[in-house]
Amino acid sequence: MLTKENCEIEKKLEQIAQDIAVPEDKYKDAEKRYEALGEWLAEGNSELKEYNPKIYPQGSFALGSAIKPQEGCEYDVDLICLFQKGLNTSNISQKELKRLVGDRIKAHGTYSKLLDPKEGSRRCWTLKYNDESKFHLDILPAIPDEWTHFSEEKYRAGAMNQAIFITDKKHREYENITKDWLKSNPQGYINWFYSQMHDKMMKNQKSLLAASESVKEFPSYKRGTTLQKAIQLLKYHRDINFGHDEDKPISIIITTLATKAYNGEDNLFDALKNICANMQNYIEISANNVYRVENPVNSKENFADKWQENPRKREIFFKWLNSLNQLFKELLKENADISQTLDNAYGRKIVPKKSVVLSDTVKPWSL
Amino acid sequence: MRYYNIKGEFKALQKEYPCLELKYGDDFYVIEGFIGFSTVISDKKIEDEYKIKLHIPKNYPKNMISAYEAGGRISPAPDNHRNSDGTLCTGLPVEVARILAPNYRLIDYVEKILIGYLAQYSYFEKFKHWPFGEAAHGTEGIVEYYKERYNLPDTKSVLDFLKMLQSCIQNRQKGYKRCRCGCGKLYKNCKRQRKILKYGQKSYDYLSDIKAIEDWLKSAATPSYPSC
Repeated sequence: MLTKENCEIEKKLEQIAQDIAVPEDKYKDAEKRYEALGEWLAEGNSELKEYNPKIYPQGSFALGSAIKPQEGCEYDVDLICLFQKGLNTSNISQKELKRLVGDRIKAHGTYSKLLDPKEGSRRCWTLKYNDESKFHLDILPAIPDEWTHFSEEKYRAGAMNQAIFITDKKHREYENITKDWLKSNPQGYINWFYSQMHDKMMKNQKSLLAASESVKEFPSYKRGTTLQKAIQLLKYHRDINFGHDEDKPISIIITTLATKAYNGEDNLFDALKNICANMQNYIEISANNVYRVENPVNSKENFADKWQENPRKREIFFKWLNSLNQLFKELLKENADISQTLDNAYGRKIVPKKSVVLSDTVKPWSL
Repeated sequence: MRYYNIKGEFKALQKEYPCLELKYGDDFYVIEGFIGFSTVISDKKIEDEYKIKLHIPKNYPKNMISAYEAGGRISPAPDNHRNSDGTLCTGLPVEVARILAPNYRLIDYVEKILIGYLAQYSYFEKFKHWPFGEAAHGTEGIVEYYKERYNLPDTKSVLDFLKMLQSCIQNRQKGYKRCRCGCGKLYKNCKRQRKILKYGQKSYDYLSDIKAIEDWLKSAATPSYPSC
């Protein structure tokens, strides 16, 4: 529950969250663009039509945790282009799948101009829109994974059906027809995220209304929930304070740990404070000192695998986490200057608010 | 063309709004940075800050300032009164002229026009409606404004009135010539001319509004044929 003193912190956190969140219009704009791309790939006289391709978002745009890019940067929208039938590891190589998608994109006058680099990146094709939208669409070609590896108790029904194979130019079997492909399960992860968030929010509400028998059903939130805002604030704090560091904590680790540590809190202050205090409890440390942040839909995948070969990444993660916990200590001190402390932590310029009297206001109008 | 002291005007502006910078472009001056304000609208406290950019034409105030919100907060949508080119819908040109004339000071533009819009937007974000209403887009908004201001019944009478106003303004510029209304005096002394001029906005050029309304009437009158 929010105390009177914490209300000010809550208000300021909400304000920063509002400033950094990607506006709803932007989500809708991105949706329009990738749906249009999906139509080009799947319909008309497309040679891909028989494979029934489907485009869906992954990453922060799918999770509702996207934040505005830093000055001069673009909105990165990650997409999967999944060929739902007719293609599998016995009849196509990674290279051929990548080429199929690339050729269809290049057959479109406009898309072909937006493709950068022209030969494609390591795992995806990227469309760089040069209008005011500042979108970069990363399209990963994929086929269904019929050999899923998952830990039974750790997935929710449906996760295993959504596992996919994706292409990777650096993979040893890139040019060959083989069962050995790079695995992923973005849809499974997205489902896990929303179900965790929903379950925890319901549980929290149930405990608040212990006496009541009927608990209202939450509508299916896509964006703007407390957990999503908390993740946005964590990512933004990381960008401001460690943005130029190549060893900065990666978003998937932040998102996974925050979701695990989240306890259904209904206000940002409590959610963030508790997430920061408890996130590290969800990092497993094995007997031989290997740190694991397990992919909740694929127990064989460790998001923190690079911490082993590069211990600095681990150090930076804990340094960042420590700075967050320090921030909360500062905020909870008596007579703390909430506004200034948070503005400093989030690198915001302190803009004085001049008192203005509006006496003769003009109605908004445009041609 | 009267000389506009952009440096002096900016200095006075920056004193009140220190998070702004002035740059010199080819076709216009650019002011960018942050504006913070605290005000009251309909008894509600509105406190906010925005990242903004202003393009000031070199012949300002002949051509008006274009204002942009540079923080990505106001997206292009008709409800938001933000045009697709990024400019903010800061009001009818004749109203802006009424408020800023005769000196068109930069600080007045920022406080009365720009903050006037931004504070209304902050209110709209919170309470989901524009506090003082909205003018209809395009020429319809222009006509509505004049109908209300001069208590005129329809578009035709607005057009006639504006043409008369514009004629008086042009007559005034004829200097020491005899007025043609039959009063026998010079234009500058004719009582009828002076009375009409009092209604108008000094040094505002009504020609663009007149043309917009004429075009609007023409397009409304032209029947549209169904395509074969």
